Amino acid sequence: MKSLSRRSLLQATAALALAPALAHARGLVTDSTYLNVISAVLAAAKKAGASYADLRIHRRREEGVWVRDDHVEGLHDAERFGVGVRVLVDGAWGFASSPLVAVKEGQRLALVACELAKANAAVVTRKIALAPNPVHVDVWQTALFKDPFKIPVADKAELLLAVCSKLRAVKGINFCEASLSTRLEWKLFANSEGALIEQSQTRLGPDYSATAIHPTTGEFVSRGWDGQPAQAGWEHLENSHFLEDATQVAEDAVQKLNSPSVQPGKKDLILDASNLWLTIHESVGHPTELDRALGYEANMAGTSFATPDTLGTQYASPLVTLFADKTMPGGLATCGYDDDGVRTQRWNLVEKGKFVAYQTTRDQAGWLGEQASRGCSYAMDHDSVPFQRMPNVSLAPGEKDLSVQELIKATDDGIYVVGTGSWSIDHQRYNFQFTGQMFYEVKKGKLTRSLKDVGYQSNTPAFWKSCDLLGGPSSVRMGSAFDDGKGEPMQSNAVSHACPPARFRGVSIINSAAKKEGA
Amino acid sequence: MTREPEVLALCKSVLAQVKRAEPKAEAGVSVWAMHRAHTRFARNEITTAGENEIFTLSLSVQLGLRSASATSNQTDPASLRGLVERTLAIARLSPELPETMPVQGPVKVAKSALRDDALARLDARGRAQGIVQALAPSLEQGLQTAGFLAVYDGLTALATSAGLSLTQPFTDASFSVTARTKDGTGSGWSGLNTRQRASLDFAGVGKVAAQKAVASARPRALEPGRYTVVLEPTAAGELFEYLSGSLDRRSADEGRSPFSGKVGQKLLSELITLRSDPKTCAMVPFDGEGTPLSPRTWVKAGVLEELGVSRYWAKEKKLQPTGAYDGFEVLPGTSSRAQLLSGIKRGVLVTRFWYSNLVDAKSLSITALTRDGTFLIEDGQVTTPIKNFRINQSVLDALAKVDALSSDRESTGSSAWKLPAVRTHEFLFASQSEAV
Repeated sequence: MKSLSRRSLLQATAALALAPALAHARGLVTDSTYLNVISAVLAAAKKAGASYADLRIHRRREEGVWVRDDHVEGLHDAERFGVGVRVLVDGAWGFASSPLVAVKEGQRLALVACELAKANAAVVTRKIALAPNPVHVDVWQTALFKDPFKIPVADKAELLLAVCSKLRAVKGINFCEASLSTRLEWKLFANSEGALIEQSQTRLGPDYSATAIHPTTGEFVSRGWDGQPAQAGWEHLENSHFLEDATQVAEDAVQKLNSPSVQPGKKDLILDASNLWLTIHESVGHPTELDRALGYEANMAGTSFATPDTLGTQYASPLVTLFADKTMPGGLATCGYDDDGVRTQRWNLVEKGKFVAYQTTRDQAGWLGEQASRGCSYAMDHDSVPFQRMPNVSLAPGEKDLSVQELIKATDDGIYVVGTGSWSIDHQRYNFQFTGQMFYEVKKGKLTRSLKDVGYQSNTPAFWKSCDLLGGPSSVRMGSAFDDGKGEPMQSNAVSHACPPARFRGVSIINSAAKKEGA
Repeated sequence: MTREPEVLALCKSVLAQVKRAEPKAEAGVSVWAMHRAHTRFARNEITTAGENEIFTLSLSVQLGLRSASATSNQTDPASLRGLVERTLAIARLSPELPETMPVQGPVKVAKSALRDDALARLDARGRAQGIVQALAPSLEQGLQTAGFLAVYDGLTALATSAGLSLTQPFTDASFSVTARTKDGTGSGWSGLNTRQRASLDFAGVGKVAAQKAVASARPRALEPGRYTVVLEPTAAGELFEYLSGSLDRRSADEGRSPFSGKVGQKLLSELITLRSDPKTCAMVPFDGEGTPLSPRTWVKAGVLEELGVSRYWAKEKKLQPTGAYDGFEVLPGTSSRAQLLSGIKRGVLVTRFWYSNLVDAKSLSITALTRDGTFLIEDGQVTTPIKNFRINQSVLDALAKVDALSSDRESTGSSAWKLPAVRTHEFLFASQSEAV
């Protein structure tokens, strides 16, 4: 088949829609194979009856290095590539994918997807209608200085071994592990409306932990590093104190092992940003997903207490504003456009304590009577159906620039929690339980001693309404989930949460090792 | 590409390329090739459906103790050449990896009967018809449903430069339904996993989910605390998964396991025997390195008989490697489901758990929440729906207090698992959840 220029491609796809306003795209892929596939898929879908079609040519690459104690345990490089085709026929979705990115295979996928959509249309009563969206022709990529894939794996292994060497040098440390995951996600999106968007995201996930075993009781604890994955280049690691923090992490593990076990009861809780981000993820990020709230995730992830009739009601204390932002620098979910081709944005989910908005996609916006999508569509790879996924969801800092030390100073009787441990929340996002990495008793404005076996358990609305103190802009830190699961088949999404430390009043503390029964 | 000769030929051609590029290299190739068809539904209608050709080729190469692995889903000559070059390049740059084990030589493994033509032939129309059948009881009762069906038709293959050559075709299906009452106070779930079309009981799953939804509506609150519980197979499976996931000899020898120094001790109820057997569990009969999987008894009448031993740890400690298992069965008991309830003055029936997570590794304590059908048992009868609970519970303590197992078993969560319902005591419901 004759190769197509971008202009002829757009002319071909314009047959399905109004002619798009051409943007001046920089660096768009000009591989004729891809453009031919796009053109063939969209034409085949139209011929088979699709009122809308899109496709993603998607490449994922992941490189992993694992170190255990004094040696490298494994090196792995994984790559997946292929094309996913999605069509709308008679108001129903159909989807098909293949690792073979070629014209004939693309045409076959378009037909399979249309047949599936027709079969589904027979039992669909609520026809899919896409919210209008401007046609974008653009390129977007992670802002980075040093491509982490260009750093030799031997150098990465050496860095991890250096971390382990520092961890093991601390008396009382029995074992340690360190790892580094480097991920690339590249995709070319095109749809029957004329969109053509190329995006490239590079993510870096460093991690390590030290384990201390009590020589007589056999009890053991681990302390993980509080640093976080980010969408960034190698410079993220260079600026992160990855190596420098190792001695403190190891000393913390030994200290935790020898700390008293917590007494259960109600306490004021100061959550460090390194812990609070995950609580935000579970108790705000997931409940404000519109598909979940309306029952579309009922069979697996569950539904949400935050139903549409609760819009405008109090979700949190008036101090609290929580916002979604897929443009946040470094955020794992940050990109230029979602997998519907919608330009990404920032908006409030909870404003001064009131629940004001959901996360939406093009096929969901109309369910709320909204005119446009919030840009939350995502599919993890070419084999996956795009659906609503969490953007970066963050807590706005307080107006006063308070540090975590000032939060501690203002607290009479509480516990300060650092880092993330175990987590769990119910299927409507009410009852949650979290632990952490390090726990410190707070008495009369001072940290008095470290504790162990601390967990906190609460109910989402009660917890957020009990927030009475926030750290200021200088105290904001970002935390990240590299693999957040949702959907059937299960898909992984990478997402970040920026927040200051915050104080919550009268939260139920449990003893997570069940040494002292409570809560 | 799911035909055995074609896949094995591909594996061997990759091995030959490695040998040509680096004669001193040893290598192993594994392939998972599957056609996946899936249909998802919610609010009583199909929401998404897809078909995928899923292919994963993993290559591991060894240059002495320098080793690396890489995976790709591309099979054209240029991509395969690139995979070989990339993997060798990483291995050459790699430091020595002391845990590298020699690639496996030839072994004899009898294929398991894991593929069913009838299931492989289940097409989009058949899937949609099955879902319509499953939804019928819910629609009749004005319930709202959501659920998921996935059907796989695939093949796994392994080959090494030392002469190993193994294949195993399979089919697999998972199907589940959640039904909810329109007032949002009741929710019921049912699901199954199977490798056989004949066992894919759409109507049965739909019926149980609808019954549980209706029965669980308008639940009353029960005080948190310790209760006698009957855990249906899916709920019991949550505990057994944590147990099986901890059966590792190396972590026990290193002192960071609940089983350190415990092999040979009676840790669980004498009613519990946990086994793995390719003949009775519908599992692939070899592991990812090509180790043949023979029948193993991990826990016999409550006694911890043995722990899993990797090839590396076997070499270090002069043990026999066990292979890595993903199929387990708990031998059935003698009680009917009604007999499990009998004698319980006041207890709780749990359909399934949600969002479990480990909170204390030493005591194997987990947290989780009950979901989709939690009921009060009074005087041997299920009487009243109750609100859901969060549990904080040691898996070992719960399984030590088991005093009855059902005579019937189910495969939920995985086709390679077979589990009875269990009755146990002093199970800790730590707090209440408002979730329905």
